[in-house]
Amino acid sequence: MLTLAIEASTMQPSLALFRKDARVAEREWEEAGRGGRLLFAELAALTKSAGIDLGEIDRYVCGRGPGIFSSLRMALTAAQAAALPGQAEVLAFSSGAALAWEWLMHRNAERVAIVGDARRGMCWLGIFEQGQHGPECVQDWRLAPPSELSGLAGDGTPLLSPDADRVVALWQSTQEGDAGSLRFVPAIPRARYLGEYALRRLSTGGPPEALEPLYMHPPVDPPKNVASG
Amino acid sequence: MVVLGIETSCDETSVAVVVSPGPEVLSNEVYSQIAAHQPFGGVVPELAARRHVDVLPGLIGKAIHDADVGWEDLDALAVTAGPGLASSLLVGVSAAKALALRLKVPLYPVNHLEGHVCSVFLGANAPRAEEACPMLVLLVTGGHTCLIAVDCIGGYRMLGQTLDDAAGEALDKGASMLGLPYPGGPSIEKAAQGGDPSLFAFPRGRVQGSSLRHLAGMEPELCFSYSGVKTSLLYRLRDLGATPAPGQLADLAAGYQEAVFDALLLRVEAAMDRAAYASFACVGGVARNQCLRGKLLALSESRDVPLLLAQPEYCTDNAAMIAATHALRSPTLRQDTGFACDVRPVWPLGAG
Repeated sequence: MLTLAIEASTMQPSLALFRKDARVAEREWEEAGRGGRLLFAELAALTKSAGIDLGEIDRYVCGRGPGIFSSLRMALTAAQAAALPGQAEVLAFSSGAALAWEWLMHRNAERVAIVGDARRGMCWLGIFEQGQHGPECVQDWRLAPPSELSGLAGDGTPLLSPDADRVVALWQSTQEGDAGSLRFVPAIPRARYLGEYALRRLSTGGPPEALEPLYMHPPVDPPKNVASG
Repeated sequence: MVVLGIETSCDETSVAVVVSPGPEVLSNEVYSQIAAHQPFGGVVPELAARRHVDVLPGLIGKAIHDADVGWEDLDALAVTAGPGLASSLLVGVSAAKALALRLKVPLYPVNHLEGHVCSVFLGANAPRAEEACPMLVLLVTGGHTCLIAVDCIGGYRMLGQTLDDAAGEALDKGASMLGLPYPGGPSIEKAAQGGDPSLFAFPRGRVQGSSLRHLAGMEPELCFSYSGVKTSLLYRLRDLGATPAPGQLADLAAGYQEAVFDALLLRVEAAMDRAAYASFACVGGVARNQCLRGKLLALSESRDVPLLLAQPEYCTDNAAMIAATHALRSPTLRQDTGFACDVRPVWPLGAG
């Protein structure tokens, strides 16, 4: 059973290939611009280095963000298209869960908040704690003004962020609330942890998430003449 | 040769399987997003991109199934790489690159405008390109309006284009001003039935030479402008003071539609005055309009130049025309880009 994990929610995407539960190959790189231009070259390099054909992949696991929309769409579409000929399985899990997995399982944290810049003056945030089968999302993804981060995350909880600089700048720009014990930690979700998290979830019967990017904003504000909801 | 085509340049998601010689269309799946964009009066790029992600994988599978071919039968992939909405193009190009990598077949980027040009060569009784060329093509869609001289497949000269709105866009905006639903072309066509186009006169959008500095080599008489006709409608409605009565609405819609289409016809005639063509064609979504088709047919008879019209199902955006474009190209024009294929939101026809 070959599983390919694709994590492309940030400008530092990665791929990881697992044979059963063991990671056998990995690629990480930096994108120069939005849109995941290097994904396919890296995918070709990964399969070549692992000595496999893309047709041998049995399962694709995609990070669904939150993160860069265009890259998430690209990765999810690529996985679904590549899976079609051999009817491989395609699953998606939040990229934040992968980050939580890394910190809760490999760095012995007990509770982490995953935050990012959601633009329009808002942050996105999700909170994970150690559960019976790994990270459990105790506060589902939501938008929040920076001034509420402290109250939502709780004292001492590290705020892991793929764009910590921007979140800190956003928090500082509001000049509201007390910094208290806010602890911003730059952290990038990686495919190796996304794959580990997904394999654990599957082995414990945990359901996958929706097969679509985690959009934290609607595509457009509703027009004035259309009733919302 | 069996070609799988993918088209996601705007708000239609489409996948087709085409074989050559012919080209013969084995399947052509189109998912229209009109209903999703209707409340906004136009295409919302972010909404379009999200829908493409939702439906494209399923459409690819359906196109293969309906064409009754196997994955191993595919010889090439053709994908719209531009021009269009970057976020929408990226979805189709990503799927094509993944399939190319998975199936180990060549991948060919196709210019969306060239796809529309080649749409006249699709379907029963369609002419052969060698017979139709040199051909004058009027391309009219919601995003593009241009006149193209086609010497052969791959040999294109842009004679003129719009300086502001596309004809379809002008119809969308006109419909919005008239309180008619999106898309504007069919709405205005319906509202104009029984109306008198001569009661409300609208300008035909003359283009000044000084405004063409960025369009090297194009003549003002062959270029389009729809800003004036829109402003004229706005002022007409303001002068009328209130919502037009049903009778007035028909006359306004008829007059506005007539102006939009006459502007097209004037440029086609001007192009025909400058060179001889074996045929002239009208392609793109606006080419489905019966009023426009009637005017073009009359021009064809008066000029004694055969008119080629794309079949209605190949007028709006579709992947069959994208796959067919690749199939119609001579081998020297085919360039396999593999996964180096990138989106080109701005891609003038003939720019390589």
